[in-house]
Amino acid sequence: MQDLPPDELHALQRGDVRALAAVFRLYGDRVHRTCRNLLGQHADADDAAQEVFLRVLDKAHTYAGGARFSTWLYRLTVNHCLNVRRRPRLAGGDDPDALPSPLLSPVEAAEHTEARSALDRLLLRLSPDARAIVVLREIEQLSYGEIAAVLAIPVGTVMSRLARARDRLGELANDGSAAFLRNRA
Amino acid sequence: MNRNDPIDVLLQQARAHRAPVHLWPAIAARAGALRPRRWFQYAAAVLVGGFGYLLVAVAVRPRAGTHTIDPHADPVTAIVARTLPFLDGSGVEPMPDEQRLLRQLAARSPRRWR
Repeated sequence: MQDLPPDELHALQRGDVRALAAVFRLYGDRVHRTCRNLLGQHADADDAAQEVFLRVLDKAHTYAGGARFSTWLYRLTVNHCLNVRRRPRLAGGDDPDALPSPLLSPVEAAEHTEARSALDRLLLRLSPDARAIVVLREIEQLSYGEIAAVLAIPVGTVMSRLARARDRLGELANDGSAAFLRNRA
Repeated sequence: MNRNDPIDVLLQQARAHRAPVHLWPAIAARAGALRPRRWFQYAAAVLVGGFGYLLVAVAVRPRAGTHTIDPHADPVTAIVARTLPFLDGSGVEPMPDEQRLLRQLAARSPRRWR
């Protein structure tokens, strides 16, 4: 994964919004995707991703360079999303992911929407810690070491929690609530 | 995970997720609004810090009669500093001989005390 160039990092630490734009170009998709998969709602993910990038601008001076910038950014993102999940939900809006895309045929759009909802249902039935590990490993494809650094836990704990989370996902896939998965299999 | 596993198919779809196009303009607008506020916060912090420094400096500054003066090095100043707080009428009434002593000291140091 490409890391932030040092000159961009220094500009960011001075509070330069143009450097934040560079961070967004590099990591915007990852941050929004992580928020989307941890929070389960597109509207929540938009808000959370905005907050994360504003925090990046505000807290960049605290980044000491011990870990990769992407690791620090993932840690900021995961911590923010876990905090958001602890708060009571406000009014929920329409989920753009649930709306059919104009680029897809009606059948494809329906399948896409159903798949997205099925994944949300599966992920949201995991505990927050297990969900974070599954998202970081299976969707963001981070290494065990990176996940351990992001979540500030030992690598062995990452591996054991991931194994348990995979088992739980398998159980959920065979559960009655995941009929969509059985149709696809 | 297995590529044919239905869960893995869902995860692969999730990996293709992209941030919406409206996200960066929203962040840039909020970040731009944040910057002047940060400068304002810094300026306010400097002002409050300066005011606090002044308060502390005034509170701990040496006052007449409260700091030690070596009587051997400067006997006139030492005696006057010890005696001065009693001469404004609000403290303990000075003894007559103290007033006489002060007058004598003033007479001996005409340039300094007259």
